[in-house]
Amino acid sequence: MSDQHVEDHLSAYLDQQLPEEDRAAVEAHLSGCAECGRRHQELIQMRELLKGQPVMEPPESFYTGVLEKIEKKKARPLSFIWGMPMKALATACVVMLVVFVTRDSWRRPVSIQEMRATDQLAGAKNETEQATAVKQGQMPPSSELQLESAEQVSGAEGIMEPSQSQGVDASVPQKKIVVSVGPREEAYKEDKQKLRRAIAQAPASVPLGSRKDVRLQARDMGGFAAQNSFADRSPAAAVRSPMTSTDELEAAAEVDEKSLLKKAAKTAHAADKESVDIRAVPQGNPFTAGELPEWRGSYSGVRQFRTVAVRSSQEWTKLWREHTGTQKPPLPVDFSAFR
Amino acid sequence: MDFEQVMRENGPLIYTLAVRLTGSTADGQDLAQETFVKAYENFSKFREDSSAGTWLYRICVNLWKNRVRYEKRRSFWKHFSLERSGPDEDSVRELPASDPPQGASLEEADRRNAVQAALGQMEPQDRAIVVLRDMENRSYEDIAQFLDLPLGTVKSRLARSRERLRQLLEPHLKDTL
Repeated sequence: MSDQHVEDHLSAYLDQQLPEEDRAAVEAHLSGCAECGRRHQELIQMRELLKGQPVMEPPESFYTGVLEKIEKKKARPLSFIWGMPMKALATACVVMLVVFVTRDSWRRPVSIQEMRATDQLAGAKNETEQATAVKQGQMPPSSELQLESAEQVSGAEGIMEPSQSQGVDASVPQKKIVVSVGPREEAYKEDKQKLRRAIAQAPASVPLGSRKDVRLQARDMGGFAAQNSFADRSPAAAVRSPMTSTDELEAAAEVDEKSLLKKAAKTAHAADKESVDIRAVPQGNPFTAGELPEWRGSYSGVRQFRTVAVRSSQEWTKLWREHTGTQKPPLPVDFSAFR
Repeated sequence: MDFEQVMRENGPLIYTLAVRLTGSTADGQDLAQETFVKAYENFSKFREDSSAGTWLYRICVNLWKNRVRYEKRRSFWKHFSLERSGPDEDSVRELPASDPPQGASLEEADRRNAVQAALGQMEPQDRAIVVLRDMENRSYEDIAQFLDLPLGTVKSRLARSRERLRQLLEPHLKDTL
């Protein structure tokens, strides 16, 4: 090291940060090198100059300035709103907007089971809103709804004359057509239990034809839903008919209780069976049909209620795909059981 | 402990440090005021068993580091900016204060101004390392901790910074030799 300049080591040498052997080598070089010796002296002088710099006394305005800044910050406690948190607030608004816009796509059911659950919820909500509107007098009891239900019964069973149907509408006071609100499923189960008790006590035969028969039949069968167990899957739809009114049922029961019970026994027997012997049904000839409520079929697009006889796995696959919209294999059904 | 009392007791220490770190009286005063405002906001966290001076010292150095980082980013984007008309504001640094303390000789005032001017011409990191070592008399370990640098980097950078400052102060050093 003694032959080379040691300017790179002078700083560490000045602070006594060099190892002992390096320090000795630097000292040996400095004793013989004027250039390095001069630099070393300049560094010493510079350090003395820097160390000799006095501590500065700030002016009084410095302290008053600090206190003013503190007071200003105190006076603006909410100033942060326009700072970074404002950006966070804006981001949150954008996220909420995106969620609001795309919420429908999130809610879309992806399977037939989810679709049914969604439809049941929508139906129950729809019914509750309608019933609430009727009760509050915002919406008059829907004669169309009543007529629609009556037509369904007539079309499905073929046992009620048009004049009788008119008689039904005219005889039932409008104020009594109040759709029961509350848990639809519970109301349906309760009615069904009443029906079962009536079946147990019913006499052997009751002639059909009275409007009460038709009314109770429609009520007991859950309207259009009873024959294909649709009501079991969608109780909200089953109680949608205004004929499910408990008042109306009681009024009918007072007139001809025995005939009602007998008729109920017959229809309920069919409902309990919950299936139709497809061997007695002509192929390709639906024996019942009707229009589903407007909130049905939102997933499959099938809005027409119909009962069909499925005789083969091909027909079953076709029907399955029509309602599910998927290419997945349908639920397995053993069609050989009736052959 | 009253905050204003703490501020007045440590005012000269922080003020001097801030002016030296920034190389400018105006910038230093601004940095020192910001230091005390920050200290006021966190005064409840200050433990009285530790030194208020050390606590304030650390706040000041940290704020200075944040400023340097901000200025670096700012100058980086300014470099790529298409709107570069007129003189570069950053290149025009404020001259050091020329208000010598009462009783000081003109020669002392001249040296003091020369030191401030030389410090003002240095890169912030180089200036800080010389200031902390030769003016604030901090150890290598303290400097490494303050500036988040390895000890070896502190040594090498200090040697380079001293050499740079020596060149800047050479005329004044010759006078004193």
